[in-house]
Amino acid sequence: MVPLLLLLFFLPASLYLAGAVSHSSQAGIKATLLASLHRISYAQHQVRTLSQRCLLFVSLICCLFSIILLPLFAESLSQRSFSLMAGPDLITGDFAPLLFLGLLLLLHVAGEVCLTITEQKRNAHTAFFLNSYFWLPALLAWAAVAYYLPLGNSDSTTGAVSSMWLVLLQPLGSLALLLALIGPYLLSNTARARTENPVQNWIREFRMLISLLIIVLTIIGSRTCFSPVETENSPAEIIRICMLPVMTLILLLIVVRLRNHFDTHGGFVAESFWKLTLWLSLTALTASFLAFHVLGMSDHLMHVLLNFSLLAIWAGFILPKYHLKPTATIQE
Amino acid sequence: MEWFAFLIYFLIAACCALVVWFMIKMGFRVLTPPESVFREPTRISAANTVPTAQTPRLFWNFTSTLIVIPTLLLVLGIAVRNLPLQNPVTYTLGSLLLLIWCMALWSGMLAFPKPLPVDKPASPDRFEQQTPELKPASQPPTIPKESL
Repeated sequence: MVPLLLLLFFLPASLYLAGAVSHSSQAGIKATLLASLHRISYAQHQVRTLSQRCLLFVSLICCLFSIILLPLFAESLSQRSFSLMAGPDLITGDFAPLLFLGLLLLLHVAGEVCLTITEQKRNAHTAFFLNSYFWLPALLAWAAVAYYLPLGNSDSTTGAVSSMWLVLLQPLGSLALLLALIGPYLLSNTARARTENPVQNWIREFRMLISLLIIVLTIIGSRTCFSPVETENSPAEIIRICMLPVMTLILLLIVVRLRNHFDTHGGFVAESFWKLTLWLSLTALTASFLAFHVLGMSDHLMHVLLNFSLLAIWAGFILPKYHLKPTATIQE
Repeated sequence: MEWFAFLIYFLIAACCALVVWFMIKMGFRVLTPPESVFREPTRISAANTVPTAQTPRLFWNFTSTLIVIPTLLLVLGIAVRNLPLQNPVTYTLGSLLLLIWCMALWSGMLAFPKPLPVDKPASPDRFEQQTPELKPASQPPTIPKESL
């Protein structure tokens, strides 16, 4: 039921976004939707090669399959009592959030690769997507975030009593995951010399929405591994559920604004962007490792300090590469 | 999640994809090409233009495949994250992390190369000078296409 609702919400949203990318006029929502639908179906008709059609279809299947998996992921995140499961299960209880997140990342990468193969020679960044450029930071960020997911072993929950959310505890890993997942979308939508391929654009918007939801679920829906075992109808639960669409909308606005900004200012250098993401995810992995294995995760404030100080160090390494724009007051 | 649940979900996803695909294809087909509405790419100052023929060098696939293995081992190590520091497992995981850093640094994945000298226009005006400052000044060196 929930996947159907998600599909009903995501399909028009992605169509509208795909239409709004290319339209940029003041047409209404309905007109934009219809125009983008016409464009997509016309471009679909133009795809003659069977292999390309199959690849696009596989990419769409990856999107839909991850939509189906999303409620299961959320459920495994909110599951506090890990009951004994009988029989051979594919994903057993204890490490279910970790495995679901990995599966979602795999689906994302597979869909992105399938999509990029169909638009070789038309996308300037194909060489980036088809190499290890975007799955390597995503993998490292997954390993960094996985430490903080609510996993089943009860030893780790006895360390401290805290109900701080992951967004406070793990800013580095979440940021790296966000950049790694959104990166292909930003790159291909702000490329300087891009050609019109509406089907690919639409599928990419679709995947962007799904990855936003993945990130929001990881940030909000999960608790820290050492949060206390909570009662079921606590208000924190309700606040979390209410924050889910709000955070999704905020992230969506940020991404769209970023895309428009880079679009009008002429794109950004793909290689540097990838290296930044790699730096960030490696630092996040180191932070998680230090926090859990070396420092022993005794104090939750220590996690906050560690993450933010590493973020500051990372920014100190990276930011001098970017020269800030001189202020506009100099201009006459 | 059981194996059959997985299969059923996969079938549902495939059927949904088929339905969406053909709905768009049949229901909204127009025979005249819709007007091309892509904007012209905006004019870009000289320092930003990396010509599309100049693909950056991509030789890190092997290293990244090597990095995957210690990363997965680190994920496995989450199961034993309560072990004391003196445990040899913790030593091993720490050395794996060091190995990842070394591989990434040594292969040059994390290095920002010096920019190549870009011939500036003769009399750049103010706006032309300001826009490239947004970018990191790393321009990948040119390599011939057949070496990819």
